[in-house]
Amino acid sequence: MKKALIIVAAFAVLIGLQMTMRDFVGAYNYQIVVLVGINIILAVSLNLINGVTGQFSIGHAGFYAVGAYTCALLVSTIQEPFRNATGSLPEIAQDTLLLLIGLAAAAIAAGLAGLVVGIPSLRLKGDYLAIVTLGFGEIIRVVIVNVEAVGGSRGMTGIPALSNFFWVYLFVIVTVATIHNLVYSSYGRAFISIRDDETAAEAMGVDTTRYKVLAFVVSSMFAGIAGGLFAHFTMYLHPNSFLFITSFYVIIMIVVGGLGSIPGAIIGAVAVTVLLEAFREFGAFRLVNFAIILVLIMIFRPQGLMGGLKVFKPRSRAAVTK
Amino acid sequence: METFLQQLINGISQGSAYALIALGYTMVYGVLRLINFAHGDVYMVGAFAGFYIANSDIVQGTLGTGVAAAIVVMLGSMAVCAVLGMLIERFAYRPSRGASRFALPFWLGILGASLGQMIGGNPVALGIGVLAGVVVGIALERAGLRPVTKSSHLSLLITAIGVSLFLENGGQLAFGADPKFFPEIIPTANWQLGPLRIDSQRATVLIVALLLMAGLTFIVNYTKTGKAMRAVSFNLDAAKLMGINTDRIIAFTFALGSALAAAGGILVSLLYPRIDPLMGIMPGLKAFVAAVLGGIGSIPGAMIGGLIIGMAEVMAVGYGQSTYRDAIAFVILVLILLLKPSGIMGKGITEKV
Amino acid sequence: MAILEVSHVTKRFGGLVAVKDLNIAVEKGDLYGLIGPNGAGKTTIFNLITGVYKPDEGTIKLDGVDVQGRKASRIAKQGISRTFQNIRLFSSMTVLENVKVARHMRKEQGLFSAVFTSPSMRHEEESIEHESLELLKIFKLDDRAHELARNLPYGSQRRLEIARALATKPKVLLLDEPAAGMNPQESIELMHLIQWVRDEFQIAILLVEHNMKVVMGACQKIQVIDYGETIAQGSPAEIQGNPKVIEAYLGGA
Repeated sequence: MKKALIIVAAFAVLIGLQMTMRDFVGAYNYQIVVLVGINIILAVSLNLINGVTGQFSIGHAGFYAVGAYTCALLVSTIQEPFRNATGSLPEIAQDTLLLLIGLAAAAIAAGLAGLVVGIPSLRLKGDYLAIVTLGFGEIIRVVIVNVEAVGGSRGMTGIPALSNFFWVYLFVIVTVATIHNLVYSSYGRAFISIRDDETAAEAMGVDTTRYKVLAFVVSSMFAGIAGGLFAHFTMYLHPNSFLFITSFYVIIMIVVGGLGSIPGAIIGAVAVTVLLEAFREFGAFRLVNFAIILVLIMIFRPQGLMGGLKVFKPRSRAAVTK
Repeated sequence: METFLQQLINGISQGSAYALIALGYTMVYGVLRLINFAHGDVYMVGAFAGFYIANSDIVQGTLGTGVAAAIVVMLGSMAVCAVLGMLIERFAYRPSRGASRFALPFWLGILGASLGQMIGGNPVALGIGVLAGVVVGIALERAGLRPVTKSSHLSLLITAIGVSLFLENGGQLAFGADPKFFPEIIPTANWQLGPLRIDSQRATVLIVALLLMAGLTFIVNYTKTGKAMRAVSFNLDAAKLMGINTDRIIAFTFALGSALAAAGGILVSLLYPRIDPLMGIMPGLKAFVAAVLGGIGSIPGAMIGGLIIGMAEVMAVGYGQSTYRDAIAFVILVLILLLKPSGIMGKGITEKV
Repeated sequence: MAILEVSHVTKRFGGLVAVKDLNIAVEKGDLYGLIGPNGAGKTTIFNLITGVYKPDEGTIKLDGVDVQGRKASRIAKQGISRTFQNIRLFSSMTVLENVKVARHMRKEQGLFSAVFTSPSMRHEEESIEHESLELLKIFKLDDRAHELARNLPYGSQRRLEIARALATKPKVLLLDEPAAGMNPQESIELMHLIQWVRDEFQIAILLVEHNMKVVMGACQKIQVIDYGETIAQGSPAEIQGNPKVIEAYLGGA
C-alpha cells in the first residue's frame, strides 16, 4: 500500500513539474535540467560497473550512442504506420507508446552491445580493460558515422519530440531505484566483492565473469535508455555527441561525485553538467576553467565529494564507497 | 609495385611521426604506470611552438629556409615542450606522490588569469587575476590545505584528462581556434631513387625521426640516466632505495617524451602544414594505440607499433575504405588487447595468489 | 573413499616444474598437514585444488567427482573452500557482509526479485543475515559484525577469513598458513580452533603451515613437499624422525 502511494505521489510531482517548469525557470534552464537528468542516468549506470564492480570502462558513450540511434531510427521508421494503426488513441497515448517501444529497443540494443563488448573485454583488468572499452566505443562511433540511414556524418534530423522533463526524470527514478536495489542485494555484494578482491570472490563461489558481464550489460542498457531519451529531446543526433570525450565526462562525474556511491554519481552529474553549462557563453574559457577545477579536485580530494562519506547509516549495508 | 613502394614510404613517414609520439606515452607509462592523456596535446603545442618560431624574425629574416632554419625550429620547439612536460609533471602529477606544495598557487594563478581574461578581456585584468590566484593559493596552502587522501590510479588518469582539456582549450584561447599554416622551412625538392619518388619534406621526416630514435635508444641504453630510467620503470621503490632520485628521473622522462612529441609535431607539420589547437586529439590517441600495440612500457615496441599503425592507415586509405580510416587504429587496438594484451614486445605480468 | 583425491598431478610454468606427480588422499574428518620449505609449491598445490590453476597432468576429485580445470567459483560451489596466505578479505565491506557474500551463492536470488525487492527476496536476505550472524557468533566476531573488515585486528581478520570460508558450507577446507604472524599464544589458540572446526563442522581440513607446533599438534597425517615433489608422508611422529625431511629443512623447524 505504502509503495503504491509513493508511486502515485511521484507521478503527481513529475507531472506537476513538467507542466510548470518551463514557465518558472525559462526555456534555457529547462533544457539544462533535462540534460542533468540524462547525465544522472548515464552516471548512475556507469557507476554500477566502474564504481561498484570496480571494472574500469571508458566506453559508455558507445552504448549511449547505440541506444540513441536505435531508438531514433526505430521510432522514425514505425511512426507513420503506428499512428495510422492506433488512430483511435489520443496523441499523448500514441507518443507514450512510441517512446516506450523505442526505449525498450534502445535498452535491448545497448544491452546486446554491452554483451558483445563485455564478454571478451572483461577478461582484462585495469588499464587494459579501460583501453579496450575506449577502443570499442570509438569503433561504434565510426561505424555509426558510416551508416547512411542515420545521416552519417551530417547527423540525423527530424526525430520526433517525444521525451521531456517528465519522461527523463521518470527514468531517472527508475534507474536510481533499480540500481540501488541491485546494489543492496546479494548481487551488489557480489559486485563489491569482485571490486575488493576478485580472486577471493571467485574462491567464495562468486562467478566473477558472470557478475562482471551482468553489471556491464545492466549498465549499458541504462546508457541506451539515456540515449533514447536524449535523441527524442534534442530531436537531432550527431556522432560528435558521442566522442570518447563524452565517456570521459561521465567518468569525471562519477569520480568527482565519489566513485562507488549512488548519491555521489547523482551529485557528480549535477555538478559537472551545471558547471559546464554555466560557463557555456564564455567559449573556450568554459573548458579551461573546468579543467583547472577538475585537476584541483583530483589533487586535493581524489576520493570525490561523497567519497568516504556514508549518506545513510543503515544497519547492515555495504560500504558502497571504497 | 611503384605505388606500393610509394605507399610504403608514406606509411613509414606517417608511422615515424606516430612512433615519436608513442615513445612519450610508453616512457611515461614505464616510469609512472600512467596513461598520459595530455601527451597528444603536447604534440600540438610543439607544432604551434614551431610555428611561432618559424614565423619569427630570426628564422624568416636571417635564416630563411633550409637546414639551419629547420634545426632552430626543431630544437626550439623541443625545448619549449620539454619545459611544458616538466611543468605538467611537477604540478599535475607529482602532487599525487606527496609533493603538493606550490600546486595551489600554480593552478589558482592560472585560473585567475583565465577568469581575469574572461571577465575583463585585457592584460590588466589578466594580471590582476594571476596575482589574486597566486595570493589565494599561497594563503590556502599556509592555512593547511593539503591532500588528505592518497590519490588513486583513477584520479591520476582524470588529472591527465583535465590537463588535456586544459591544453586543448587553452590553445584555442592562446592561438585562436582557426587553423594556421606552417610556413615552409625546408625548400621543396624532389628526388628520384630508382622507382621511388621522394620529396625533401618526407626525406627530412625520415632522417630526423631516425636520428631521434637512435638518440633515444642511445640515451636509454648507454647513459647513466637511461639506466636509472629503466630501473625506475622496473620498480620505483627499489630504485629509490638504490639512491636514485626518482623525482628527477621522472621529470627527465617527461622532458624527453615531450621533446620527442614536439619533434613529431614539427615533422608532421612539414608534411601537413595545417595546424589547429585540436590537432593532437586523434594522432595522440593513435600514437597511444601504437604504444599499446608495441607493448606499453617498451621503447622499441613504441617504435614498431608506430610504424605498423602508420602503415596500416596508409594502406587502408590507399587500397580500401578511407572513411573507416580512424577506426583502423582502434580495431588494431581491440584485436591486440584481446589476443595479446602485453603487445608485441611486452611481457605479461602475472598476479601472485 | 577419500573426500579429496589428488592423483598424479603435475603443473609446469614454462620450463619450471612447480608440482610433480602429486598424490594426496584426504579422508573425511582428516586434519591433513602439508609442509615443506618456502617455495616448495604448497600454495601452488592449493591453487590447483581450488581451480586457480589448471593441472597439466593428473586429476583432482572431490567426493569422486572430477574438479580439475574447472572454474574456481564452480569448485567452491561444489564444496572446496579456502583461506589465503595474505589475508584476502573484502576490505570495503563489513565483517557481516564478508560472510554474507560466501553465503549467498548457495541460494541465489533472481535478478527481478532483487530489483523489485520482492517478499521472497527479503525473506532470503533475512535468512542469509541470520545464518551469517550465527556463524559469526561461533567465531566470537558477532559483536563486531558491522565494523569494516579491514579495521579488525590481525588475529580477528584471520578468524573472519576462516568463518567466511566456512560460510560456503564446504566439504573440504584449505587453510593457507593461518598461523602466519601469530605469537605462540595465538598459535595455540588457532590450533585448537582448527581442531574444533573440524569436529564441529564435520569437514576435512588441509593445512599448509610453517609453524611446526601447530602442524604436529593438530594434524594426524602430514605430507612433506620439496621442489614440488612429495618426499615423505605419515603421522607426525614418523615425519619428525624422517632424515629426508630433516635434510630438506636443514635442521628442522
